[in-house]
Amino acid sequence: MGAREDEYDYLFKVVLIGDSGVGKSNLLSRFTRNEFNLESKSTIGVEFATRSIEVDGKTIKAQIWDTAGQERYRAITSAYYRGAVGALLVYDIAKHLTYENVERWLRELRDHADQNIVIMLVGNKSDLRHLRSVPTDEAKLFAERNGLSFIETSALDSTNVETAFQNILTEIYRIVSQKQIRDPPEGDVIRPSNVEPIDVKPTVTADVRKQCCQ
Amino acid sequence: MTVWGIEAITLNGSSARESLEHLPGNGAIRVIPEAGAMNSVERYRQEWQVLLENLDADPESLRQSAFAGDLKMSKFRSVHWALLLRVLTSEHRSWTSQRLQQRVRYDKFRADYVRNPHQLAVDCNDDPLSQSTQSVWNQYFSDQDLFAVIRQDVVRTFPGVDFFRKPLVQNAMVNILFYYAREHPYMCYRQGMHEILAPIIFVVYSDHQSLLHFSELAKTDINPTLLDVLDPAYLEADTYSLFSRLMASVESYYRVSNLVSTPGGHIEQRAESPGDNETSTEAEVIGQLNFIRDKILAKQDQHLHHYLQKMEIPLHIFGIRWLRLLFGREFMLLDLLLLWDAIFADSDRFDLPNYILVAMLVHIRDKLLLSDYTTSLTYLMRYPNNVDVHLVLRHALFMLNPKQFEYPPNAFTCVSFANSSADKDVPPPAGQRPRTNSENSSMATSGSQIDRQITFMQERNAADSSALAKLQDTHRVAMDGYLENSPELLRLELKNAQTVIKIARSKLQSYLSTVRHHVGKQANGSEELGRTLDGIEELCSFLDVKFMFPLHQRSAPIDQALEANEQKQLNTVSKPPKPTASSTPANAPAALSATGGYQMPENAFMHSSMRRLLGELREIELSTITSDEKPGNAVVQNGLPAAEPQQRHRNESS
Repeated sequence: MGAREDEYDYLFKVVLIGDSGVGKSNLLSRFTRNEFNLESKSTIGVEFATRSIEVDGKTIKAQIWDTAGQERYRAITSAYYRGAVGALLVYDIAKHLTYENVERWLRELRDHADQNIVIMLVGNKSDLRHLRSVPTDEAKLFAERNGLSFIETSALDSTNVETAFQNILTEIYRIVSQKQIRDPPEGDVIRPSNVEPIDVKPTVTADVRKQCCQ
Repeated sequence: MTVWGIEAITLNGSSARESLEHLPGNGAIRVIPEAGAMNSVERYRQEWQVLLENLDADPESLRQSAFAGDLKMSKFRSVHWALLLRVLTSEHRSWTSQRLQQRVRYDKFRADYVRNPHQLAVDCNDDPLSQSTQSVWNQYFSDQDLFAVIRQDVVRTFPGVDFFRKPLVQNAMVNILFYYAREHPYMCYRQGMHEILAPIIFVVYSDHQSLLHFSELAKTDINPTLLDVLDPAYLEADTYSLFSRLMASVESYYRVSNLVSTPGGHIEQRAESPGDNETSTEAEVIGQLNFIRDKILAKQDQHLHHYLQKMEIPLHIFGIRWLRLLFGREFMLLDLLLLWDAIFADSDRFDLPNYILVAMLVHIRDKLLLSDYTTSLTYLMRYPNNVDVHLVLRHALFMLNPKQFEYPPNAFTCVSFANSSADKDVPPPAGQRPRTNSENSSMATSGSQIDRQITFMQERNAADSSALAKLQDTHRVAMDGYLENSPELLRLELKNAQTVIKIARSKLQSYLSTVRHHVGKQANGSEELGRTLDGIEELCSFLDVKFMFPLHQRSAPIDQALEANEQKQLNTVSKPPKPTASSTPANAPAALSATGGYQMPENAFMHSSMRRLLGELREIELSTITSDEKPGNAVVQNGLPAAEPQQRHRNESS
């Protein structure tokens, strides 16, 4: 088992949400595999990828989930959002409608995700300068009013993609660290949902060993 | 892979035939090229003729052909699909009128659903900004939105396949999906429908191109019904007929309750009602996936079922995509068509997708069971491209109907002894992205270790059988400390115990590495837990067969171990009369089936070799295997209480 290569200090689940076609899947593939596909497939159901980064000497493994932009009000939301500590809310700067729908996605987060989830507003496709229909200042103001981080990216030319994920993971890490300092008995606050308590049985006694070695 | 590739194969075949027949002995040289082309045209005509004759003789035989994968090279796959899906009846003499009805109905969609207010003499009272559902203007603007949503997905269909970049194909797809959404407002357009449509239009177009090609070669004398049924002018209409019929079977995968359509039919709003809750919006597909998990998977592979539950991996994380696209992202296009042939052959019940999903899970069970949460999820989200679609299909067909389809004998072997080096050599197919290096190396490492251990055990079994045969031949006298009257039996029982202990040790080690991996995730590892894991590792060293059962060494500690084992053998041998008296031939297969499914290959191998060597002692052999099974399992359970004994229930009626 390649346990060494897969060791990390924290596992953070981050979800990507936003309208269909804004570039969520290419943000995911650019960050996790440094790939961009001009004609990437539509996302059906859920996509999933991981990548690890370093923050303050700690290894943070990001488990990034991507879902179909048409999947609003679908039943996969409960499983999709369970355990998520961060969300990237993506819109397309060249399509004002995708920015208008940000309000709907925020309501979905409030309905299904943990109330303490860290949210970053991401204006993608910043390479389409001449087609811009969402002014940067307008989106930045909206983010400030709603308590969101804000950044503009281009999955096509890689602008700010690394920065966006680094920033949200760092922000999550800061919050987790603060909680750990404040509540030491709690231990690791952010736990992967799949971790189960291990049932510890007594260690083999010396008598048994002696008998076998007679 | 493009449709032209298929035609290129046909042309090459014709050319090869021409060159082969170009011999000096033939007087009429100028006839040869025509003769070569005529032969392929003749095969084309013959395939059509055979199809019609089969329909007259035995219409249901077409389903057997589809199950068997015989449609792979057919030039009339779209006609087979139409018959399997009952778009066309088996009464082929009325196909022309059946097609006509469908085409007329499709043409009517254009008049009904495409109304441009700018060009119509609309009611003076209709306001372009009207929100009324009766307003032509409102419908017009909603339709523009719907077209845009559909086209956004159509242009992203099968990125690696040139066929789907053709404007003709893309426009046809947009139209078909639009008319479907308008004709079925309760379904609207949902993402994924474009990839249900894609293979259908690909197959219909391929058949049309074949017809055009052979018509040109033949010049004349193509069956009139054939010319009508595969008329390329009706690509859209005929594809729509197949698509809407298939959607009727898969609409439960797409339907979501408690949603209301807007006039445009493509954007849904949740109804605002006081009693609204999570349950009421559950997609039907999730109920179906829960059924598959609890009624099919739990019966076929209890261990895997338990594993997915323990890891909290709900089937709908990956299963929604698998079902909504009918496995279109998991297999390459040509392999996918083989699956769809079989799925359509079962179209009246449409149960086969449930069993295909389970077969796909079972075929990667070893990868899943040896992986942590993230790696398991990666396998499920990006299904391995080296899984043989034929094995998956045969396994699924067996589960669907064990009386009609045989259990594929090599399916389980493939599962147990997958070759990890083959994984590395197989290049990722077009459109799929390769896994990251760390994921590849991690999975290859663990798979390689298990494979090496299993290969080692197989070699030891073979060597042991050979040694046993030699012993029997030489009639070797009893050794000191062994029963004089049954030296062969003692040796045999030692080999059984050795193999069982090896298997137990191998499993214990893999469980240990899995647990260690999980412990590594936690920030603070417990010291007590570390000692426990060390204790498990110590048990593994105790189970090292070289230490316990050397074949050719003697020393004081080893003699002690042998004496302890001899005591157990004495107890076993003292009971032979009872099992022999009570057992019947029917009990033998029952005893064999009681063993863990995961160990089937090893036990099957031993059983086969022992039967050759000691046919008369069959009952004792089976009893020995069964009794030796328990100590191994006991050790595993003591070492890792959470581990579930692996059980797999084969259908006894097979």
